[in-house]
Amino acid sequence: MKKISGGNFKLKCLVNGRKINREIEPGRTLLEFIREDLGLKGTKEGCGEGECGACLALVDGKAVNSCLMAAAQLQGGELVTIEGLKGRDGGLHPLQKTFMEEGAVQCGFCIPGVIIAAEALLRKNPAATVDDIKMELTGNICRCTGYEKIIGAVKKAESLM
Amino acid sequence: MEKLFCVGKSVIRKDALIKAAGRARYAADYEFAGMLYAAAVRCPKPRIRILSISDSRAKKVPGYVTLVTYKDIKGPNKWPLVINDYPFLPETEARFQGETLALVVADTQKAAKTAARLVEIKYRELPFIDDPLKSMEKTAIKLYGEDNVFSKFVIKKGDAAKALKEAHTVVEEEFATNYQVHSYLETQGVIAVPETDGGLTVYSSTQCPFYVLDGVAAAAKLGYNKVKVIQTVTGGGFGGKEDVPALVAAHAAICALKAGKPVKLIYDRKEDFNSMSKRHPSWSKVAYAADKDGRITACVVKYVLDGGAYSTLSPIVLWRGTIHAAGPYKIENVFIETYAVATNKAPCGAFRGFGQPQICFAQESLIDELAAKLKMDPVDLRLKNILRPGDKTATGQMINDSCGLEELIKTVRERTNWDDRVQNAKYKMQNAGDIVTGIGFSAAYYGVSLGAKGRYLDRAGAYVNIYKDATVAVNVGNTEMGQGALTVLSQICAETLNAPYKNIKLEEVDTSKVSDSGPTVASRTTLMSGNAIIEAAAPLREKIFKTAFDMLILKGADAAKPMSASDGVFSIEGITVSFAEAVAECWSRRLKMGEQGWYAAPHTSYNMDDGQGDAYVIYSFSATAAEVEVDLKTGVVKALKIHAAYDVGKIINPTLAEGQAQGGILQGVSWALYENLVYKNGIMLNPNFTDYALATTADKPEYDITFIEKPYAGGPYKAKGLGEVPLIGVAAAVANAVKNAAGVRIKSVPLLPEKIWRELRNCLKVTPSAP
Amino acid sequence: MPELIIRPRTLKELWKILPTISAKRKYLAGGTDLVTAANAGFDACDAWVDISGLKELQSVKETKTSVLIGAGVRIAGLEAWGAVRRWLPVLTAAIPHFASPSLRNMATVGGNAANASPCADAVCALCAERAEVILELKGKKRRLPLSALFKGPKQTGIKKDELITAFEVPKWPHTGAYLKLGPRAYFGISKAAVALAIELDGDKIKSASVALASVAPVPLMAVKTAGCITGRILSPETARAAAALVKTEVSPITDARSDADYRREMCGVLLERALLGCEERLKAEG
Repeated sequence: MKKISGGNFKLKCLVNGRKINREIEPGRTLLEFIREDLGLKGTKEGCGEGECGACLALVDGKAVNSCLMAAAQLQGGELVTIEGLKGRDGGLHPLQKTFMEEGAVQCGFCIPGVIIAAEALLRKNPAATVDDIKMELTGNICRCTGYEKIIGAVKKAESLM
Repeated sequence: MEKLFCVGKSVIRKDALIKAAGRARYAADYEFAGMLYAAAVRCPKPRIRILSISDSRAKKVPGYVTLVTYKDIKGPNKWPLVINDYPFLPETEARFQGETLALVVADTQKAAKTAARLVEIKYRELPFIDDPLKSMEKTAIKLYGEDNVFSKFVIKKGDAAKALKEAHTVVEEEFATNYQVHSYLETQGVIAVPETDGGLTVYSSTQCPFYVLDGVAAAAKLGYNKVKVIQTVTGGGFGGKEDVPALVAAHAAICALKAGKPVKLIYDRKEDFNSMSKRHPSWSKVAYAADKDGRITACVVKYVLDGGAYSTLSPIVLWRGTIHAAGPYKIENVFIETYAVATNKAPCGAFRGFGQPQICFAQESLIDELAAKLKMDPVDLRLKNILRPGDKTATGQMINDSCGLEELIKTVRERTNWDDRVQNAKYKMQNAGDIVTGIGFSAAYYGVSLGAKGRYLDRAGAYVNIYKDATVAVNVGNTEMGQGALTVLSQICAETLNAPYKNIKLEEVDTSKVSDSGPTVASRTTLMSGNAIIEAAAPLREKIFKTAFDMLILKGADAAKPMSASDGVFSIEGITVSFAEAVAECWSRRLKMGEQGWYAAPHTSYNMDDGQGDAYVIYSFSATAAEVEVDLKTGVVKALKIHAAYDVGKIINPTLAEGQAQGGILQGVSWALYENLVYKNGIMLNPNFTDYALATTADKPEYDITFIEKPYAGGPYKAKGLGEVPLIGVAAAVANAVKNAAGVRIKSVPLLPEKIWRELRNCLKVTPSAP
Repeated sequence: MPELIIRPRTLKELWKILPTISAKRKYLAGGTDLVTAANAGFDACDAWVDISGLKELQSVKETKTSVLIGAGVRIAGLEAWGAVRRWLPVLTAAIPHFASPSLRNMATVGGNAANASPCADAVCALCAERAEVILELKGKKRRLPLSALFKGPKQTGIKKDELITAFEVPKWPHTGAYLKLGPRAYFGISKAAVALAIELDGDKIKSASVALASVAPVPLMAVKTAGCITGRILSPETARAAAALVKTEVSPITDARSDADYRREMCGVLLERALLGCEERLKAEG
């Protein structure tokens, strides 16, 4: 039998509400696809091994570490990155607003991932308690803030969602 | 105090929007046409003789461009820093595992990484040292100079030996602390872009663009005016982007010059762990002596820092540690000797607190032991001995009026309900089962900015330019790395000009736009750049205020009445002129609307021979209390709540200040309890976030933070410095709380469960039953 | 990094496609181990066979006597299944201790076993719950006790191309606990973890199993300890006896994560607490 040899993977998916058809390298990670193929630089690489959460993106509504997912696994799925989060009025997302207001942002490198994790939480649990928020964000390392204002900003966003 | 409309307000950060929206551009986010990628080839062993470096296999990787070695360095192969012992790239000998030996350049990041792995290094292993105390032994192999000591300092005041001998009570203990890795979420990154005139533009994630300028200009042998360093949005620094970005940038620069194309060099997390700077591990022996009333009569300290393979910033880190080693106390007899020593491990450098947290952990732990021995309350002991205005420090420096330490301690004592908890045994009795709770205290002081040892660098510039439309651009030489400099400096500028906050824009730091302003370190940016902005803005303010006044008079205002200026509006008795109108009028009068400012720190007199004199111009202060829970069976400690009070002068932005405090406290808790970098035989075993554990949301304590603002006349709007202060006393407070809770004194950081468990087991062997 | 990635939709398609691709191939499920290795440059295979699209692997089924958990079920997805909550209390207790929320959205139960780490939390819990693992190769199935799958760190008895398709857990009316000591409160690799499953008859332990993570080269079944407490009254004395015995069954090492003596001692502490916790619940329930 003829061996199937290497070749690019034809990926069809929805990215931030737009249909995307792309040929990608087979070993492409989702993070590489997001940053390099799509040029969406808001998603960050902090460690490349799923330990910091800077690369979180929503795949079919769930937060995943995009550095550890093969882009091909997005086939037929829906991807939302930080660039795809919008408020109902098309402006800033409530989480983005409360993060600004509460002083939850310092160096900012972890923030896209934190906001994605918070969005995933509030989608499944719109009345999350402070403890729920703490547990849901355990995979997002922030080295600047001590987390207090981040947790406060997520809590505050609930009433605005 | 004068009425302020912008300073002292929690305005929203200037960079909050771009960061929350994911639009901030960090180094890795930059793209340039034709850009290539570099990757480092790293030393596999703690110490090697390099025999050869070959790219014959690497060459075959598709997209491979070139190999870069020390031969490609244009200038002298010495990274200019303090002692200049660190070559940009090693020639014959490499001195720590992870040291960059060479670089490869390729057309994609992946190709560069793959090729780097295929570069063949032929080497011979050399004997190495991984223990700083062994490094100090006479028989040790020599890594640096005659004695492996990069740097040493001494403080001699009174007669400490005699005081110790004659004292009523003496305590003496040895302490140790392990590394702390900065773990900024953004790893080191830089892009070097060759320009048509043979020069370079360097986009660098850095705290210190002017250090990058020094490094790149030296490696590329270019005039400073041919190198432009632009700071990219920087994803955390904490000291870890003080010196080393210059080395990373120098590597990218020589790659870019050799390839003739822009070259991007982004570290992965592992190589960042392996090769970049860290908080020094330390060893110390501290002794305090006291009279029967609890007056501390002497302090003797021997303090050793593990500097790693090259000196980098060790001398100045050590100096700050030396100055503060006796603690914030008034002591007549002091003897401090300190050493930074070479070993074959990653070079250590700046980390928030800069040599202070390690020795603070030791001496503040020992203060509690002294209190125990004197049968005194540890807070009372501190209050009896702390520095107050008019008192003299270990270096003989008189503390001025901007000292709120006593108030801080009393505030924290009150807020923790200390007296009830510690003196009233009932609290303890409430503990049931395996979980016990406890509370611990620490006090610290902090010399703001660089002090006598770094005074040649202690200056900063600013350029304030007011456009015709009344928007304002400000160039400074100190950087935003997350701490909030853009915002705080904007507030200072807005306040000084009476401009609306929204009109102010702080430009990204560009070394070609402002004079060398020194590093963004030592909690000096608000003070230094803030004062430089005020100096630049002062003549502008005068013009705008005078013009506004003229306009108000023209509008019929009474010239005899005072003009008020607030939030961009000038008014006399209800008649108003806006900042924009005043600026437009200035322009139509053809006034000069751009000004330079410069601030140099006041002179200090300090004698390095005996360590006596004025070490720093001004001090900030802190008092910290930790409430912890200890599991007596597992040794696991949880930090429940940290109470802290700070005197850092005027608070420019309360929300940002609180954020700095919370972040600093958690870094302190994380260092105290979790972070444990492990070397075995000179090889780093856990260079990753999997096994180098940082505190997460689930580990964060509650925070109770108070600022007590003792104004500093020399500071911008009477501010001092804050950034490093909150971290310094945390580990000691936690260790004292563990002692209070579980009865065991842990004398090394981190306070791992394993250590506590072992101590508890030893205690049980000695005293079989507790009441 | 592979040169090829294929995504079969059914097992049938998988077995058909395998012979057509390079022999240097690996199954890819949640990616949390495989892609980590690839990112670090340690993955030398030519092809990734992505099994995350195999619907047959993605559900939990209940039979009269057992619960069948598809190998492709994500850790975060486990709790959604009533059968898991009802019949697998130990696994349910282990979920919050398994990595981070986002990694739980990715990692699969099958991958946790195939990776064969001695610290695998879901595996350790499943071992205590007496799971069997079902493997399939070109349509041929075999099964073995989950704990027997492991040969050493990162080593299993899985044959070339053989695929873990499911775990079958007998329905036995047990209670239990999953207690873990890591480097911090959550999201860490265990220094030691104990999975305890006991069936009670009144206050008597009718049946017990004890599994431990990170204290042996493989997820370890403490058979002697389980045997010792079986038939005894669930009491502090029993808990103490179990704690003493379990320490003799483990073989921990000292590494960057912890020390051998501490780990050994903690096995006892955690097991004692697990048993005492069960006792407390029993008392509370009257």
